[in-house]
Amino acid sequence: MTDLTALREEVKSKLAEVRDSQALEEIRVFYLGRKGKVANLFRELGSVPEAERPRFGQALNKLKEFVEAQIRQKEESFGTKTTRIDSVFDSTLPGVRPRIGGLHPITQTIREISDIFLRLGFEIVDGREIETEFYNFTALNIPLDHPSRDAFDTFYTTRGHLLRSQTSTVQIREMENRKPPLRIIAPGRVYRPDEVDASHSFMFHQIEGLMVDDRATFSDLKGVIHLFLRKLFGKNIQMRFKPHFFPFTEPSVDVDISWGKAWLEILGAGQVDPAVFEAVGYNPKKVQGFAFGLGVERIAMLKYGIKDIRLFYENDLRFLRQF
Amino acid sequence: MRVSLNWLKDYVPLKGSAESLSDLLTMAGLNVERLERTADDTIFEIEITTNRPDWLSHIGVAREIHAVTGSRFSIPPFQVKVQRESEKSFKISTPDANFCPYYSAVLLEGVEWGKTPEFMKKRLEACGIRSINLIVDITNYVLLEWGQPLHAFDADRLHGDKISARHAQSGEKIIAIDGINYELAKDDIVIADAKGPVAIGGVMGGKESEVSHKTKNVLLESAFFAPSRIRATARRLGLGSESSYRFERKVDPAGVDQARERAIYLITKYARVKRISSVFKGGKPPVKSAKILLQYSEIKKILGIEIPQAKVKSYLNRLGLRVSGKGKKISAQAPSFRADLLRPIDLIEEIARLYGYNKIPETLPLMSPIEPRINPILALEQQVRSLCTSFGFYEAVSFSLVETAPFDQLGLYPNDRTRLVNPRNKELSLMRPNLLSGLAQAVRRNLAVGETDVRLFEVGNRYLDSGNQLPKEERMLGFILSGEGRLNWIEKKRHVSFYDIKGIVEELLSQIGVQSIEAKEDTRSIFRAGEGISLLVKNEQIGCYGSLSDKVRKIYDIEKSTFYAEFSLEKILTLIKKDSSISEIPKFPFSPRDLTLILNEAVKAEAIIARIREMAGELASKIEVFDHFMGGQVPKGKKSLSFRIFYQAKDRTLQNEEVNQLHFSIIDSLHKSLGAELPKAKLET
Repeated sequence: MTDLTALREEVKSKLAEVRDSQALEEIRVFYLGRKGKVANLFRELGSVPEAERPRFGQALNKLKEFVEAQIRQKEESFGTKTTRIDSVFDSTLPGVRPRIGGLHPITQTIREISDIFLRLGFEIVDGREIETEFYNFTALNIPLDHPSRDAFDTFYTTRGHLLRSQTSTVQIREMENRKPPLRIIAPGRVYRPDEVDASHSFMFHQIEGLMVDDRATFSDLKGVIHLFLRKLFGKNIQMRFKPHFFPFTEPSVDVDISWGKAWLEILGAGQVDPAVFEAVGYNPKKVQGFAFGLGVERIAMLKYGIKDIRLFYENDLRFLRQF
Repeated sequence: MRVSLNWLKDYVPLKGSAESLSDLLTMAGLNVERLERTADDTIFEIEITTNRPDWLSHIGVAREIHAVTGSRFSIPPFQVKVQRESEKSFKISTPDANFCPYYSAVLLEGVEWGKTPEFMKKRLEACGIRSINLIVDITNYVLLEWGQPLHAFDADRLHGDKISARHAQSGEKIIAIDGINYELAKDDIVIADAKGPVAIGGVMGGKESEVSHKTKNVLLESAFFAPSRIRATARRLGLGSESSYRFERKVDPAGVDQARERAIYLITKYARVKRISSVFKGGKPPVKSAKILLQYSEIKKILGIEIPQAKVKSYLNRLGLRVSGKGKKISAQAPSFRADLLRPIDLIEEIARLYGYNKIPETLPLMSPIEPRINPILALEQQVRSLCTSFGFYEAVSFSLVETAPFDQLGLYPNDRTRLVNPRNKELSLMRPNLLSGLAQAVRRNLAVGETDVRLFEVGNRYLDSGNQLPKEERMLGFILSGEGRLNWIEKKRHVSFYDIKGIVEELLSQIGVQSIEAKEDTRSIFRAGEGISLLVKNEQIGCYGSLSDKVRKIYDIEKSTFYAEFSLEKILTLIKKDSSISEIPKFPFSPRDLTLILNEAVKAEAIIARIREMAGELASKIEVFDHFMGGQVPKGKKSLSFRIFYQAKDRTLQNEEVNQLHFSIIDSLHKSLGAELPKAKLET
């Protein structure tokens, strides 16, 4: 019968000299391989006297575990670098990526803009899309039968309601329902029966902003708009305020930013017209403030260099995946 | 409007470059959209806002340059120093002052004329008006110069000696200069002679009385028409003209006579006229002028800056207002051509404009505190958007206006549709009653360009009719799934299935925190029979999902199996459980047991699970399905379903015997109630 203790010592001392994984593999085969020393000992088990057999069997099992543990320990001591390399393993196959979708660029643009105003103390509100003439026109100081309505050409429903042509409707609804001070941002869909081409669509998105208290001035409007534009387009953005006309603001302004060599109209704004305050039951002698509105698609097109507005509504994954 | 630089120079001195003038105009509110250079002139294409009809002329623009720069400004001569007499005379009647408050005409007898002078022709053409003949050209020239439209009749083609600016009689017809026969309505204004209409007032003259080279006697009209009437007529007849454009924006009532006399001045200058009549007129020009009181303090209150009083006065003076008053207040009377100036705020805008918007400093407002509020539906929108993208979906945005035909074919929402009366595109006339159309079209488009895995969602409104109330706008979430379900090369290739959309729906609702959901079959035609599920909470439908039916796929031209789900975010919002305290982490281990059953095909997995739950009660902490198999060794008409049941107690470690006993009693019960058998191989062991 073999001296198992001696064998243990032999393994120990041999392993102590092993320096690389190839040598280690040789030792593994020498002891644990199918024709290795340990396997041979198991084969001898039959020739061991019956009475001795269980004890010897147990001792053999322990020896096998011991050798395996020693080899494993050695293997681990080499670290990953020198461990056995499975030559079949191909680490260059693509990784299993989690599948994650993406938000539409319109949503992303709305969020980006809203986030700036949220930090300025504005609140996001939501408004109806199908409206009455009162909210889309009358309360906004756009008289019936007036050419100023031309700019807001409108879809009507068979029930005599209309699809809002601008998000300014939300100003009216919010002011009707609460008292000043208020600072709101209202993103949403608007509709105008425009001919569809690369820069027009009969449906698009706007964001309306409104700040009303007892002191918000035109120079505050300039400050807020410029701050917003710097946050959105970078701190070197140039801006100019051009006099314009909107029935619901006075003074009214078209805001341009410098883009390349040209000035580009980016939003409309102004001090809320007293007639609008009257329409919602505010006292125009006691409240004042400003409003602004901007086209979401227009800003997204500038930011991402999108040349055709129709891409936004085609929902082509090759487009959507780029945002 | 097209404005000629040379022409402006007749009234204001202009020395700087065209570019600097363009900037000046733009920053004064006359937005120059384009600058066009010709051989000897520069044309500005100016966008003129509807509040400033006084800018619709060269004099108007020149006057504004004067107001901005303070430079000299003069108007051209219009006094005709000739004895006014004529052989014939006309009687003018203006029966409805609300339609035509003022109508004037002058008869020019024995007119002999030659060619239109070259400079006039050039200027007209630069402004986009074709030269026709001297008389017509002069009326157009004055229109572009003063902003007052004029009309010249061939006086010999008028019947009788009465001209009436009256309502049209319904059914009355007129062939206009464009050769088209227009049928008029009661609210149109016509200019009529003894026989009938000779012009559509303020919109277009009649063919019959048109001035031609044979014309000898000219009746020259200058009038003021009610802007809203002109607008209505021009719109109804689809007949916008340079004239109607100005009348509907309101002409300067004081300019009506001046412009007429200016035209006569030019006619006498470039043609020979035997006799010029006195002015025949009806009504009075509605010259109104508001007196506005402005406190200086209001200027700073609105604009945020102090502007010196002297400057304020000088701005208003240059704009043609008559200013008076001392101390804190100012009184200003607006000129007749500025009907838009009525209130103090109107003056403040003018002051800001002339001061220069760009010179007004930028400040940040002192913000009053406001109670923070979070809009719950927008917060839920944000949450579902995040969830959907985390499930691999891309967000779609599609039109709210959809085609009606698919909904007709599917028999959906027949009675609560919101339709448009004036759609841009006849097809797109329905406000979408669900989100299917846009998403289905997006799937078709993406599959067509070779995408193999299409997952899209949309958050947006649907619109349902509510009678005379405003339609119901309901915030919805829709998603659609088609193509391959395989995520990567390790997994086997497969197509997406009903169970993919079901899983997404389940995960979504559980993430949001909607509980006690009941599923019923959705038998509507959009889903394949038996593969549509309607989800209800407390008997109210919150959404649906399933495999789109062949009919839907045919309508939207989608070949591959496609799965659709739709939820009302508004309804879900009311069902979210807010106070969900956590449950304790189990202290005692679980014992799993696998159970494979051979069942009749028709037995639903849910029935088995329900039975297990009923039997095991709290002790079955989790039941998973890990295999579903038909065919092979499973007999025909049967299926094999494998479950893993996790037995676990809250208060003790379950012993093997107890688990086994329960497990076998469950098997027994499933056998008795649902005919479940154990697989043969298993029975043998």
